[in-house]
Amino acid sequence: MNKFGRLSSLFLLKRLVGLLFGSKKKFRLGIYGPPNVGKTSIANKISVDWLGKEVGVVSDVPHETREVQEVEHLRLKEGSKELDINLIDTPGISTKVDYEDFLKYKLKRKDAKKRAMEATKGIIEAIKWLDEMDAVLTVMDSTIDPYTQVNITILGNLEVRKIPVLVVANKTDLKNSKVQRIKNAFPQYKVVGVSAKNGDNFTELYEAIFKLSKKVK
Amino acid sequence: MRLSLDFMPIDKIKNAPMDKRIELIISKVKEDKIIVFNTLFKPEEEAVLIKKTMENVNKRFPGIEICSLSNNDLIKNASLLTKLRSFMVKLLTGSNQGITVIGPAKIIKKLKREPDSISLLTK
Repeated sequence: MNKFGRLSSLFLLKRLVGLLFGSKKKFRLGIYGPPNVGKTSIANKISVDWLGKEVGVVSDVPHETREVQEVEHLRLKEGSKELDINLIDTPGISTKVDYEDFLKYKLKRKDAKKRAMEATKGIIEAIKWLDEMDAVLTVMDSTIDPYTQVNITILGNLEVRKIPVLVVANKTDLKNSKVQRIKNAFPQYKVVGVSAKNGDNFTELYEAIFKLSKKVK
Repeated sequence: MRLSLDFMPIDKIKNAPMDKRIELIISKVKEDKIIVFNTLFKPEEEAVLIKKTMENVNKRFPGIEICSLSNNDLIKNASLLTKLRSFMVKLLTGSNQGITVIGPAKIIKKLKREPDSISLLTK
């Protein structure tokens, strides 16, 4: 058997093993969105559910996540199927970072300036990482108008790069949450409403991630 | 406070490389000008614009506010003839029809997309 024949046999064997014993798909799943929509809270919930450890620190102060954080080999299971995910939590994307906004959270001026500089670098890093993603969860705050330029820019860039997207509407535990408003604003995307704070509806989110994985090339 | 609103026809800058176009936009916004474009930016251009803005952020320049409205939004309630005309123009010219407003975050508190307009709230 020549080299090509051996490779074909190996491929067929792998497919057969996959069909008999369930398949394991590996891919990079990014978490994108504006600041303070709960990206890290969602990453933490997913990571704790499947790996038993958190990804990063959560805070009310915007731009808490200022560096890309990656958790490797999250094994999500659904029946005989298994996903091997590298989960990537990214800094919130925004068009402005004003250090004075951090002063409202009682940060010292020096710390606020430092945080602002780190936040700008984080945003640049998050945009650069777009090219590395196989699929993305775009997180939106379901209590506010989702039709913002940042959300449109994120979704547009993923579409241009042909990266499969799932929109996650977070904060459904809050009174003024309106998941339908996000569905109306972006009817072309699958939207799953969750509460990362209470852990609500993550079963549906995991089912949607399995469906999303089928679109990963 | 005095607000300066500049209209920039896309024909004026469309032949310049993307980096140059974005540099020009940021330099104008840093002069506290609000710029109105008769076009929509591509998602890749907006991503580069955000990246370049972040590279320029300092205590005097906290960044930008940006909002765009596509022709589809503008003509949502228009007559069928207007919609057809708009479709034909897009088909023939291939242009991204719409408007985009970009301004300094130092001055603009919020740019909000309304169904067929953009509202601007200053600080």
